[in-house]
Amino acid sequence: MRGLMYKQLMTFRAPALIIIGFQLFITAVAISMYLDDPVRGDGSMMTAAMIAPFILFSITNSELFRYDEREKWCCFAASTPQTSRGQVQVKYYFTLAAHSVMLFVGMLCDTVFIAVVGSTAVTCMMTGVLFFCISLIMNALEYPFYFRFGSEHGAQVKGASIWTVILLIMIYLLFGDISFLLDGNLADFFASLFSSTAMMWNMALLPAASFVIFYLSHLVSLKMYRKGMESYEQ
Amino acid sequence: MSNKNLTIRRIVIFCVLAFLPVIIITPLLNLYYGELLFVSRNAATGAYVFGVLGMLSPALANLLTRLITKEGMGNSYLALNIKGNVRYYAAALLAVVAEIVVAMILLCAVYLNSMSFTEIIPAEGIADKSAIVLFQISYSIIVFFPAFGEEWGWRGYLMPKLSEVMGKPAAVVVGGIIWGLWHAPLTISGHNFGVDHPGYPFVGILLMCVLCVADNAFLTLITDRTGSIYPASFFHMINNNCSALFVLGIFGSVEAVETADSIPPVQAFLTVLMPATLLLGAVSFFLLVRRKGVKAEKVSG
Repeated sequence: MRGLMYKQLMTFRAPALIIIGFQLFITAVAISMYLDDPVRGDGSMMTAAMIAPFILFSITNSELFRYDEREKWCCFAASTPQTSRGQVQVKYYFTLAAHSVMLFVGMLCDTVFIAVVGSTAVTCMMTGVLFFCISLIMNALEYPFYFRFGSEHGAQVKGASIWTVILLIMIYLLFGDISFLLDGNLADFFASLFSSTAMMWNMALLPAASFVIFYLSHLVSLKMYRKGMESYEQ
Repeated sequence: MSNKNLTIRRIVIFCVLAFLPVIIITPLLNLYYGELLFVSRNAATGAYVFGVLGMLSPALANLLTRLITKEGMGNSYLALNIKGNVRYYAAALLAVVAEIVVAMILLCAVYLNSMSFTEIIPAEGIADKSAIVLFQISYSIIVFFPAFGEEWGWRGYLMPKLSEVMGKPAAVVVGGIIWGLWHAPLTISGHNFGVDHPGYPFVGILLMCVLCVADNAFLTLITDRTGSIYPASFFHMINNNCSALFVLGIFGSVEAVETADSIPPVQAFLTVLMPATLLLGAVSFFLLVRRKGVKAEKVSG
């Protein structure tokens, strides 16, 4: 598995450097912006530094699959001691490791920002953890598609799924009951939504749920892998 | 150089590297903010900055000692080893929750005994409050890296080396004392006990050493049994992020919280936090020693 992880790191080297570099760049900009005016150091720039890597990873995650999508490679990979199971698992291990590194670097950046800017700075770690969990879930939903249809077609299927959901929401907004949006202030509605007991429970259970969904996705991907390799190019 | 001498050399290098950042960072932060860190208006900032940078120093010391002494990355305790060890992972999480529950019971029994249960914990909003506590525990992930930083240093490097030199029982005590002394610059800066208690700062440093010896027994036990540093890291992260006073702050009535806040820190430490930790430490110590006895019997048999 260590060898497979190394291979994965090598193939994902360029996006990884860009992601971490971008995170460090935003932090440097945030520090330079707030150094002379710590009162304004409200953490919005650091929130961006915390969220951006997870978004960038979601955009570039198909790179993890691109070099493996050859039928002959898959047959060879299945004959190695790690078998096809190892080929699937390494994508998940790597994703988890990459997410941990992004959160860790985010935490270090946040700490440096707080230490330099001082007591008025707001920590953005909670946002980081929130996006860590959301990104894990997003990747967990995407990977089975990638394994089944290949990264290119998988991305198309994923896009179609997202558009379907958006279409359904729009249909509901056009023809459904939206009185809760029209009565009173929209900001109040969202404020009450996020402070509601149900939302608190959802937020509290999110970390555990994200790990469970990630694990289940790995089981689905194991089933999809064999079907998928038959559809790859020679 | 004999194996024992080499191990002692590695322990010394590790300790110097683990202590140095804390000895440097804490006074620097005190100077930077112009007050003792944990009793100033910058206490939260200081705790956060130290919590990240300081707590990573044992992990860094582990890595550097391996590099300096050309030890390599063998016995790194970095594998998850979940298979067959789920009970130890569960034990790590349950133990920290049990410690909080016992501390809560002691807090109510010793300091809030003039109030009825419903006066301490009003019934209304229990669901909301439970969600907040669960939220706090779930988002302890924030503290995972610093907790891992300490655990990978103390349990992942120092303890195996000390055990090699002096045997496990003595290593638990010595390792705990070293770990406690590592907190000394913080204790001097007012961490945990403040600065206006009798015997400052020596009483605080001593209490921290006792607490660390007890915790060290449990953390060494689960690290030893699983061969992995993660159960100990999970225990440490929740332990640092959630306490009985926090739980009371969420569930308790204003009067109960005010009474709890008025307890002097050293007194609260001795009567509320210590008993559960000492009990856990004693049981863990017994299990560590007993296991060795069973092994010896098997070998001789």
